[in-house]
Amino acid sequence: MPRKEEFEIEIDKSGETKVHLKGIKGKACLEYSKLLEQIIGKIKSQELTSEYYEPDLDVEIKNTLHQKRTPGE
Amino acid sequence: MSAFVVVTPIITAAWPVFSSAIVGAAAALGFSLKNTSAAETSAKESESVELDIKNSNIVTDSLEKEEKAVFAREGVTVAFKKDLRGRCAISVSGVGKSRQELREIGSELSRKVVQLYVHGRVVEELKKKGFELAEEEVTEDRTIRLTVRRWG
Repeated sequence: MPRKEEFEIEIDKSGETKVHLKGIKGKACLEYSKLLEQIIGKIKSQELTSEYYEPDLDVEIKNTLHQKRTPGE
Repeated sequence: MSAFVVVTPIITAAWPVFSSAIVGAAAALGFSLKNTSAAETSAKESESVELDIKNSNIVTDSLEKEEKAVFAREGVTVAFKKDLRGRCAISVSGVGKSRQELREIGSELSRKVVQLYVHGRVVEELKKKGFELAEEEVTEDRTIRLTVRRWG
């Protein structure tokens, strides 16, 4: 299922840029930080929240229904 | 929530790319493009200050042609050019203005150039990664707020 990834970006009047990465988990956060560094300049600070530590893969749990068939059905 | 990142801008750009941010910043602050020779004449008769844009590195093409842009507003002339170290140098001159006033005008303009350069880079590069610009506003303190999103 597609997941929304959103950046809230504030570029202040001197060009310093704060980015809030939303809906991005695990290592993808660090990859996006690296991308922002390439685009804008140098990382001044970085704060990872609890969502960073969540797994970055969606695990789909499938329930398999085992039906017992009785002879003669 | 997942992460907050603060990034300090470093400008590394070819003159044509950077000059579009210069033109945008000058227009936003009420400056208009001026003929280069006329600007040099008036600069000799007035006070002037020299500044540069911190963390700027203007990449020059092999032709080494003169890269300069001059703007004027209410008797103040501002010239942008690449200095010998590759930084973007700003020369601000004006009749009847103190050096402090000229320095403030130059600083305001240089900050606006950097802000617009970052804005242009962020929007362009994130679009390449499949993000769409959902919202954009300028706040009272002149901060540009953007929201970009994609479905991953």
